[in-house]
Amino acid sequence: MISALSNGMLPLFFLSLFVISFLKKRDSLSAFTKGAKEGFSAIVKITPNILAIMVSIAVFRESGALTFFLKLISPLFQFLKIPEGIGELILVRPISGSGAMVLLTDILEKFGADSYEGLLASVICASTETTIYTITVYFAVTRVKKTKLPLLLGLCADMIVIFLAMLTVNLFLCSA
Amino acid sequence: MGYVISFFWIWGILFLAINHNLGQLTNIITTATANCASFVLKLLFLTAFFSGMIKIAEEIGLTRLLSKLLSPILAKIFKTKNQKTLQKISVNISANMLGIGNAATPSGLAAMEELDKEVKSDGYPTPDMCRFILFNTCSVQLIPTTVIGLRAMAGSRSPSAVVIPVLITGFLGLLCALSLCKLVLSYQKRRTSL
Repeated sequence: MISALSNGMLPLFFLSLFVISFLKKRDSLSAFTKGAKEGFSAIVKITPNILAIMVSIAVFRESGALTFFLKLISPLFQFLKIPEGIGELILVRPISGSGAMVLLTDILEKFGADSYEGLLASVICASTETTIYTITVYFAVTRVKKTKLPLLLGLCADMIVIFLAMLTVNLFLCSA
Repeated sequence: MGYVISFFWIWGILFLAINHNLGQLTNIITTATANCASFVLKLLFLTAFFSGMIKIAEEIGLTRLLSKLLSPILAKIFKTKNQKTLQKISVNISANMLGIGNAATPSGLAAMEELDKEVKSDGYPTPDMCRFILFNTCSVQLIPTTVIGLRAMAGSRSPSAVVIPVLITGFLGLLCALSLCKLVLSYQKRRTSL
């Protein structure tokens, strides 16, 4: 039921877009090209970041440093019942959106997109934000200097979301 | 993120040296850059496609409709009485829900400026700022297009199976975050009034 509903959302969304633009006599092609142009430049803008992140993660991982550090924190993850495979993603998610995208792709390819790890990583990525980055940018335009409270609240919320994600993935996606 | 990159490189090279593998470094780099090339290329067209579709939604007034639906709820959550601020907040949140990052950030920054103007600043964030920040760090996405796309690229059998779980997780996460915020703020208030 849930998966049928999930899979229906995107087609329904697209269908309603075109039906409404037809009824309202709007030019959907010119809107699309305008948006696509913005999409291209958005990705081109972050390409240097993606390059830097992908190469440094590769060096960190292939050298064996990642395995070493993951072993250090694995007792904590085991205690919290978080699968070790998504550890790196959880640590990078609040700092960098492009980093999280790269790591999510790695997880999806390593464990499979429909595995527990893959589904969990997908849900976590989609329902959290780059918390630390967002707080830095948003408070930069204000006179607020003490951002410890919102930072703590934001990171706590991220932790809560990780547990909620484990719950929903177990409940809706992995029970069948 | 700069610190993280430095951390990765320093420990990476250190471990290569320990394992007598320093000669591998160039191989690692060339493999990674090749991977990056194919990843960015796929991501480029995928994102452009979804941005195009979202733009159609924007042009037919979906963002406006959503922000109109949200504003009565938001007026209850935020204490500010300034209509201009509330309007910017609701535009920001509805853009976030539709996943339009480049529309969300300008209105979000504008809303923060308005919230900042409303008080005599003492360097601490106001309760409304905390709430608004939580709306932006927790993400309630109606259709998480990027994640769906990445899942499809990785060969998922049903890339969009996560839509409803993401919606529920995001919504509950936001509720928890806002309640936590309320709890902490009321605790602080009680402590300062003593």
